[in-house]
Amino acid sequence: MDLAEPAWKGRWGAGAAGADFQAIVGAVLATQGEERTTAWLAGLKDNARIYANNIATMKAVNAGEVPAGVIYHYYWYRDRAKTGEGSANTRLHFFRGSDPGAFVSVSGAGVLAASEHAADAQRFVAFVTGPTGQRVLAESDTMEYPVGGGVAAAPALTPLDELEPPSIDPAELNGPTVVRLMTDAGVL
Amino acid sequence: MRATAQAPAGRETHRPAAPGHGLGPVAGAGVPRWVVVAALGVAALTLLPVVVVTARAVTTDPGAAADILLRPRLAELLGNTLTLVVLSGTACLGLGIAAGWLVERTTLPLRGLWRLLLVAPLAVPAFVNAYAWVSLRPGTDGLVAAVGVTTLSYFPFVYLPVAAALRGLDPALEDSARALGLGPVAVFGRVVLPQLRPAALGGLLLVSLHLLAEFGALELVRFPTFTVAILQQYDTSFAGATAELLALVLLVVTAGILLTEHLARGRARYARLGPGSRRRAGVVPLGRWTVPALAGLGALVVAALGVPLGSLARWLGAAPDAFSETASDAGALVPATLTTLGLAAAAAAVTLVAAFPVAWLVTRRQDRLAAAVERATYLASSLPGVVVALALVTLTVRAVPVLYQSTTLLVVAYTVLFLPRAVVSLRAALAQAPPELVDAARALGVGYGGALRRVLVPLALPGALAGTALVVVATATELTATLLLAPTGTRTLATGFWAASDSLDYAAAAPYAVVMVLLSVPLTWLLLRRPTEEAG
Repeated sequence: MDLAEPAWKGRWGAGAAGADFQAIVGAVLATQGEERTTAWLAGLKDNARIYANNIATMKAVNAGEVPAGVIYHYYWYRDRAKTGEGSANTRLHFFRGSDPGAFVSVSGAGVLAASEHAADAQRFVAFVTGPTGQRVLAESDTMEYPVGGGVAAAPALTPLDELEPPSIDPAELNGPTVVRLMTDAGVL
Repeated sequence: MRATAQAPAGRETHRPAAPGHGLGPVAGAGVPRWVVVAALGVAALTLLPVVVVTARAVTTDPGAAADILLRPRLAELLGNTLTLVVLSGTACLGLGIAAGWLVERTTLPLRGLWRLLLVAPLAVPAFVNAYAWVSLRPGTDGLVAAVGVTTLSYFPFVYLPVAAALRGLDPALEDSARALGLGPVAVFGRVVLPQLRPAALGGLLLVSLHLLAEFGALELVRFPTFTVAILQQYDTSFAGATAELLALVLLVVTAGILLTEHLARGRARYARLGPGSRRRAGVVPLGRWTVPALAGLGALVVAALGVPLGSLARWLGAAPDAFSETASDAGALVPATLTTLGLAAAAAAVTLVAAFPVAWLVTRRQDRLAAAVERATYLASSLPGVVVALALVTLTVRAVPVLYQSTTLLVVAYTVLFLPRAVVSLRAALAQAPPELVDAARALGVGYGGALRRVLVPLALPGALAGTALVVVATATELTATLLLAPTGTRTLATGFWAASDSLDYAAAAPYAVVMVLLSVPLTWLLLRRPTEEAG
């Protein structure tokens, strides 16, 4: 939340107009309520340099355009797993302490009620979330955390249970309100 | 000899026919009914996006619409968009006229080489140019970067028609002015410049329309305009009310610019009666200004052409590791190229078929109907690709879901966007096939179909080929409509380049850009040839 303070003016960047960032704003909304979120978004508008996405933000920090950036962890680990040229001059900082910035965003799957192959789709979702599917995720170069099937994450990652995320039920994230608040703030 | 220069990429509006053009066709002669019907059908198709965007905006709840439209973000976007159009447009105008004058009317050495080099930047898509500058100097962003990059990409749109017009001017007018006591500067200001007005305005219009439609270059330099904001909206909430209302504002701005150009063009006469003086216009000796002029043009060419080409070479060469490491990316280049060529061929074929009745109608009939059809096709194609694409998404999702996410819809979008390029080329060819030939064929007992097949089509073939080249190149480098409409899994050169450069993976983006530039070279060659023929 401090990133909205005047002290951070021009000192951090984010891919704020991208879809990824909405989940982070969703966490702010879920933990802080609408009023504080509105104030925080106004601070973001004033303070942050807006980049196209997470990778652009990371590379801008790496190039020294801006001292800090808010991104998802896996872009940094993916870059390190390759050449590291987009992140060599950067260090990853986890917010921890149940801060909204420590929010752990989840990727969900759903099957449309209108689906013509609902049963197959359900089986696919079961496969993806089961041990085999999660192992595919863990062993690929996505650097995301598998959360189902008791599969261990890639060894390079900071363990998931050290991240101290805020307690948020993903089902309570309010997408439409987030988009409305971000639109009102002029971020979108 | 034409009094007005041909604007390069076909997006120009209707302009009065120059003397020599109006002689051939006899009003109403030789246009069968089905051609009229087909032309009207094509015009209706091209107007579809305008109708959809307007209809959606009208049916939006006024309160919600006001909330979206009357907020600071909108003023910010409008300010950014208009500032960019004014500054970049002015810069393009200045550079284009100055470069045209230096090359055509002074003793500048290496004239032929400069003619080539000053048009060549058109072979580099603006988003590739932006990529080059951003990768050369990370942190290149904001208004100055946006104006700089777009000016370097688009100034040839002004240079090309202005240079052609300068070659075609009657030197006798300048001689008279000088004989009446005007100095060289006054002659340029009071005689030459006014005569360049139609050409310069046509070029400026093209620049403005491209600026309104530009997405990739501006996103890379972090300068949000309407088009950029619409794509960001689409990214987060698809064709929501906000994206559609932004599209409406963009449509209004585009219409405003078309109208301004129309009014600015005015009714003044630029044509002359009689052949005029055929000798080449006098050249101004540059003297000690030769070196500064060469340095200036050299710097311009380095910035507009050298930087992007050098940057591409550097990323292709300096990162061989990245190239081989991402072998899958390099392997994706071939399918992306084939997909692009397939889409471009389909778009060119459909566009040509659609352009034929329109071109036939406007060459053979000079009444209100023909003018209305022609203007309708120009209006729709003047719209930014993102507006056309958004309208087609809205339309298909609501009315014909089968077409949503189909290649057919993408080809329809290309047709709407690039129709005038084919019409302009075909029209020029058809104008050389006087209706008397069709009449003669009919008098000899051939039906309209036969006359069409055996007389008109062969005569229109060169124009058709030129039109094909223009549409193929435009399609191959189209980014915004393709991003919105390409079926999931379809990757073109432009979207492949964009996927890589959006995440600043310059090495992976370079091969796509190189292929796009190579595909665009024929366009540059065509543009170079055409004005020369006109001047000759």
